[in-house]
Amino acid sequence: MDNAQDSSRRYTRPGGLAVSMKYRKILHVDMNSYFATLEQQAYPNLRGRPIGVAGKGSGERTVITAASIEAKKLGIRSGMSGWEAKRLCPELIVIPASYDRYIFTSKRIFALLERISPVIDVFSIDEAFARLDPTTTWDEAAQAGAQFKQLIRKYIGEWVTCSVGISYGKTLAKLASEMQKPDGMTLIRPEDFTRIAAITPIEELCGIGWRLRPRLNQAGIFTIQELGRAPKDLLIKMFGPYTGTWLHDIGNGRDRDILRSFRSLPQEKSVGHSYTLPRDMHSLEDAKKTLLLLSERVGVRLRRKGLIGRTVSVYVRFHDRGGWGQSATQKEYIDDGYQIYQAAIRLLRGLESPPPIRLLAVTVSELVQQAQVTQPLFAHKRHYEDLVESLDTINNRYGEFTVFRSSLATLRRRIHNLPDGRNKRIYLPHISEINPFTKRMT
Amino acid sequence: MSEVKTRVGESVKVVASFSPNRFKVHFFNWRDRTYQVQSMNLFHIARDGNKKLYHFAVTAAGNSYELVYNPVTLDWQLEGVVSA
Repeated sequence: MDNAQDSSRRYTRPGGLAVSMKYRKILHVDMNSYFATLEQQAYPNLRGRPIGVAGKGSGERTVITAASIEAKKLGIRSGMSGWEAKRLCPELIVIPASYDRYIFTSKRIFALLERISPVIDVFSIDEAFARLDPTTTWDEAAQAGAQFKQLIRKYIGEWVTCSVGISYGKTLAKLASEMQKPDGMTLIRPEDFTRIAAITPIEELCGIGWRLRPRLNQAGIFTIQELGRAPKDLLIKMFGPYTGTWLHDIGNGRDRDILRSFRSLPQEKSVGHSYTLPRDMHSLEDAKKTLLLLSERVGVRLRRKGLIGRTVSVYVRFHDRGGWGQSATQKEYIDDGYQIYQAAIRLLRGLESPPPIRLLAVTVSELVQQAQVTQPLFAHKRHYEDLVESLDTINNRYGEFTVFRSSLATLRRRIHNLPDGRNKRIYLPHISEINPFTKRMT
Repeated sequence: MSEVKTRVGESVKVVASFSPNRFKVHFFNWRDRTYQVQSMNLFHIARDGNKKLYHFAVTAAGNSYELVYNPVTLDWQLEGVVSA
């Protein structure tokens, strides 16, 4: 089927408004080496030098969470362990992560994107889509991309750059933004698709990763064009009706990904925390405190969002990169850290004589709004909820883990020390800061 | 693999100007030496409980500094130095 003809097929968006793919324009923004670039923006003497942002600084065993453009050229990649990065690039400068900075700046960037279009879909901390008006021409869409780049330079900083991709669907817009990095802009119009599909490997498409690619390659499919020529029945037989149909469609330039504003997205499906231990733990007893800390953090986040969940999952990664996971649905909905911990411990009993443990994760899913759950009838349960609420009030005012379970006292340093080396307790008010008349902080 | 960010965590005196939608740090005094701020590079707000802390990454005398303003205590801290 001819792609240009096919791309003019109409579909209906939620809300009932039909927009032809020919007229649809989606802009994808991908911030270049986001964490590392922000550090270089903040500290100009790091510009032009290979830097790696690490979750725990260079002290504890750490993982490079982001590499600067210069470090990437030397082979440093996100997810690389600290020692591996050091071996590859001895001159690498390691900067501890400043997540407050990244999250705050992300919000500012997305607010700037909303100046370009009111309908944006946040894909990750450094990526977002924007739906441009269907009456916009491709030239005007390119101008909007250029305008966004200028806004970034003006309001975020001269060193911060992004790659922009514009196409008639989300998958192709994302592919377009990957084509010129850093600081590029690429358009894939319906008439460009056939040319680009002929030369682009399938793994460049978002959604085709290490699971799908080898199977497609085995079937003799290496480029997007070859994907489009593969019989739909074969793809459905290999990957099921949903993925098979999507692969066939995207191979023929039919990009049906629908963009919904992130402001109208449904609530989270799960809330979880994970932690890479500073050293491998050889018994589950040693890991229990970390599990309690993770459970408490999950509980705090659930209550802050007004959510309560019923399924608790635990994941353990071993030193040899192997893993073990288990989930269980509880009789009652829970949002308290200790209850989550108890459920996690019950699950861990199924793990007999594990190899040394490297990472622990706790997740609560099957979430509903707290208001949807019946309040407890028994007085002792209500009293316990009151206690948790009071603790939340204190911690919300003075900071996370101002008051915490005594069993976590040995982890206090880790709780209070922020990844960038600061200790959040230094910000607690001193007695002299309390106004004696109002009993409030001066 | 080297680390160039040094944590300081000391109080500093700051000269800053405020105008609508604009805020500028001009000088800060640390350990009896006055530094003229050449550029304000990046700004962010961090929350700790209900407190907001205003972080300013600035350049002065060839190095980069991170200053933190606590509007509750009206206190300025030099959070860290990134030396070349």
